Amino acid sequence: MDNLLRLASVTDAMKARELLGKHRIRAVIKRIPAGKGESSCGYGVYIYGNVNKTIEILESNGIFLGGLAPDDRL
Amino acid sequence: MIYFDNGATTFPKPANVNDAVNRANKLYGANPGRGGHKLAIKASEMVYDSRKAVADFFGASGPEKVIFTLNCTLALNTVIKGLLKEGDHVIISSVEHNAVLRPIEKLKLKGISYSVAEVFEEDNDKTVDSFRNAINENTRLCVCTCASNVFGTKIPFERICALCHQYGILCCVDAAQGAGIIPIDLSDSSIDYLCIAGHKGLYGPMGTGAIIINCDTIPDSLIEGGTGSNSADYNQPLILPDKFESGTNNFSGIIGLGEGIKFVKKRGSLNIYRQETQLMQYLYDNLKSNKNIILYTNRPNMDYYVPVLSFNHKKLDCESVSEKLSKRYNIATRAGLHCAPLAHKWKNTIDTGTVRVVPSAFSTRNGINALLSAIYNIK
Repeated sequence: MDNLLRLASVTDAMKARELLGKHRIRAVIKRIPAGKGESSCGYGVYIYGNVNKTIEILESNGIFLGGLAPDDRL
Repeated sequence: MIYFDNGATTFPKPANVNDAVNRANKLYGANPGRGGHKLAIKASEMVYDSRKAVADFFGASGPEKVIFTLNCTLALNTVIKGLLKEGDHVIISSVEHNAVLRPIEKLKLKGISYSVAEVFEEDNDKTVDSFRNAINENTRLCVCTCASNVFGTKIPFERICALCHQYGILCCVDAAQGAGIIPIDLSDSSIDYLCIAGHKGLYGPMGTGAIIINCDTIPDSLIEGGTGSNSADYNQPLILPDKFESGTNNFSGIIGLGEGIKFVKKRGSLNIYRQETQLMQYLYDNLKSNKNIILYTNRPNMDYYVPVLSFNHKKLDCESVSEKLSKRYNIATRAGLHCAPLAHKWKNTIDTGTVRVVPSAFSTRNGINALLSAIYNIK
């Protein structure tokens, strides 16, 4: 899985980085490259660690990839 | 100048606020939440830190619940106009500022009605009852200030919000005059939307304010535009805070607001409140013995008042008093109706206005003595 996780806003990206830091997972805030994701412009976190675990941590704290909860992504 | 117009905006600002604003403009002035370069990311981090400072100070459930606005008026307009629809009814208090009254009056054109619930000085039970009596089956929202910006009278807003929740009514509190001194903890409150001015009791720069959302009902956005996110989507993002923060924000102001909150926390809200109340009590006691002065409230105390005191001179109109205080004695006060005609109607001062004195954390007993001496000598 891609280590760059797209988040809904720069605020979510900041919040995610802070949260992951508490779990000792290093995350760097990055702009989403053009053509990656459904619409251009936006921020994400690049994860240095287990991506699946990271997503689990983020979602259990109300931070969803692209701002969408899993049910909404279907 | 001896400055007692802190109800309009606090002045001076704390040194750490001025320093932070200068630093932000000088060293970090990139557009936050837009680019990916180092300076833009740094600016975004600084905004995020201020957002967290506001969230922590008021017990918000997360930093994203803090929506930065340019002032409290914009915050209130966003909530009021973003929630109310044709047929809705809204309740406001009898001491509301024009920031609440005017948008609601305008909404009458769209079929929204409102009632004014009377505030009773030093009788919270009667005030809550008057809000209860104003509720009808169409009431969707209650908007009330936490304290009068003219007379300092506190409103039992927590009780009013709790009452409204019993009836499924949303509650918005205008904390322009109370934020920074009245303790507000949204984690243990029925307030749904808290609107604050950043540049008054929180000691941030002018051009700062916020809505703090404390419920699941998210108002419609007042304006739409660029947010730096999901730009290919023609629709406004729904996520907070982006939904309400289109366009470039007041970066240095927001950084200054975060520092203002640090200043308040360091001094302690209650310490500031107590110190300012003591100054108002001293002013009140001395004005009370001046036979040329009219006062409009009981002696201020922390149970029922924020530190705001209005008076009139029996022989001079309020604007003349304020002008003389400024020109002859270099003392700043605010005369007139203070953008609050409802409050002046409430105290029967709508035709005369009042002179308003509001201290800040920087006000001193010497300053009050200078004001008292000037008032005594004014002819």
